[in-house]
Amino acid sequence: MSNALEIKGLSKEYKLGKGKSFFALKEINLSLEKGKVLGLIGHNGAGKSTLLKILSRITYPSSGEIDVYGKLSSLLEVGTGFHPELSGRENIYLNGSILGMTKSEIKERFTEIVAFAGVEEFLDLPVKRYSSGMYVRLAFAVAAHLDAEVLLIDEVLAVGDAEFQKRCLQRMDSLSKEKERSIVFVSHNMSAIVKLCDEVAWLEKGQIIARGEPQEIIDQYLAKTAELNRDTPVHLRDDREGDGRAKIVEISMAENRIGEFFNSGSILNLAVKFELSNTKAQNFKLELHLFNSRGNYLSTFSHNANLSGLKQESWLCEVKDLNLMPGDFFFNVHLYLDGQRADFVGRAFYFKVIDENSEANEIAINRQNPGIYLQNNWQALKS
Amino acid sequence: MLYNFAYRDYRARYAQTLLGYGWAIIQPIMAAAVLFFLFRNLLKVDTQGVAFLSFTFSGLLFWNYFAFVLSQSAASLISAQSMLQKIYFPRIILPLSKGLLGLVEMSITLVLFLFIAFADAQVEALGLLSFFPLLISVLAAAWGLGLWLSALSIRYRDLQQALPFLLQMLFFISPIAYSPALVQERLPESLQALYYLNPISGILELFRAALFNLEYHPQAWLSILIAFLLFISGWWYFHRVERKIADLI
Repeated sequence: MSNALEIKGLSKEYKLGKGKSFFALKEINLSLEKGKVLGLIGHNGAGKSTLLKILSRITYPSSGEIDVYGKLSSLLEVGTGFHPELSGRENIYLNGSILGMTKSEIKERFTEIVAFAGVEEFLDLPVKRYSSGMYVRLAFAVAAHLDAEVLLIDEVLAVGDAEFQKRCLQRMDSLSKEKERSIVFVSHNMSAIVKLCDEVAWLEKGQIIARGEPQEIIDQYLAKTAELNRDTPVHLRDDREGDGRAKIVEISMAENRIGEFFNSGSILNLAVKFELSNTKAQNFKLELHLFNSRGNYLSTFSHNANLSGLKQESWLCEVKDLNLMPGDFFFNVHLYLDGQRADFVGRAFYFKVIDENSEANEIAINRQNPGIYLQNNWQALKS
Repeated sequence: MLYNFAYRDYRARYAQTLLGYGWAIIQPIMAAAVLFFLFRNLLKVDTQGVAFLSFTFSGLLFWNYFAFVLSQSAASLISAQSMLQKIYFPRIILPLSKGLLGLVEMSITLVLFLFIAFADAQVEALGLLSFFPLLISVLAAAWGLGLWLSALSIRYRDLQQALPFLLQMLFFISPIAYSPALVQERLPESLQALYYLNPISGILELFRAALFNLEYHPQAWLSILIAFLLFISGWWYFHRVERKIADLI
């Protein structure tokens, strides 16, 4: 199988002044086979976007070499280059041309693009009158119909509704499988990466630290992330999943605590805060999923209610008689607005349970997989 | 692609305006009215024996186009920042497309000018042909300076502040509403050529010479040379910094 893309010894150095410099990418070597999809994962600032920018010639490397076999197109942010005053029709032509299509190519695919975006009735309306969903769909539709051998796609799936996201994934999948297009795909959405990619490269601090079968690399990545995030406050976490309509900014134990310790059997008061960003959503649902240190699921506390209309919502969850065995536990927090997931933070809150009975503590330390005490009474059965 | 970029700006420029193209007529008329009052009635300047309105309009025709293309192209990179960091396309398209955009208003002013000139002054119809090569020279000068300024303003935003001031100065030292002789009389013989370092001076003089059948200084050709030197050097400098644009902007 021949390669569509080869990267050799690629580095990007930014000068910081006073003789100091910073390597955004360091000695990257990568190749992508024709018709394959390569996923790039890594924390923010790891160099994924810089790599895509260099591949798409927006910025240039300090050293190294890139060979692209065929035409390369990139979709780094949907809708850049769209002009709000222009109609949908005009923007298709304009955007197509900026992205490197000729006029006849755009003409040929015009109906297909419009159908994919589902904006037939609004073609002659300025796109500033479009809903944000329509806007994004149209932008992706243009890019998805680019006739390039290599496509670079950055985080498009962070936008649009679930149905459209599914269609985008299908489109990318068929581009690679049926038309032998090669795709470099950057995302924080791990399930999308697993579905779409043939191979995954994990970037950290400008270097590739692992490369291989998607599920395997992602497992390693998530394990590392969990460890790193243990001490990061929720509002600073950037490994969230959701559509960005709301952000979980705080989860904390309101009382009954001794440091980060929780006394088994007492009342657990959890304060959860989230901020809304320009959404018309009516109601929300919060779900707190409780896990033990081994990652085994124990229980869910959930609540739904109408939104108050304020920018921030604060809720308190009271759990009576939380009879956890001594050990480490954590919560995953899910937030849904109008039934669609708006935010998710995994391992958002860790706490340590202790028992007044010190013997139980010792047993727990040896067990490392704590569960729940349930009330039980015993009596002898008469035979 | 050049056309597409220009079309994009063109649509945006006239979207949701009440008067639309009307501005292309109103602007030069208002400018001419102010100049008429100032230069003709108050200062009573010489216009090489040509009717004042025709003379001034022939100057405004080129000047407005020059000022438009220059200011728009100089700001073109900064105002398209987000696009520059997200999409690849040949960067030089951005400043160059403004030359095309300016043609819309320039054509409207041209029609207006022809009406005035034929009604108001003795016009050599053949001399009108000189309009096209001279327009290209004006475009070369505006593009040249625009390329320099847009590329430099990535590093030095000050230029954005300085440009309106620069244009205003250039307007007053260019013979738009007065005869070039007014300035030249006050310059010593050895410095005469200096006057034509301003490309607008020579281009206007050559255009009026052809159109109104006037004398001109042979040094006026220097302006044409300057215009194209500006363009070539601007092009060269732009390509030199092109690769760094996304990193620096």
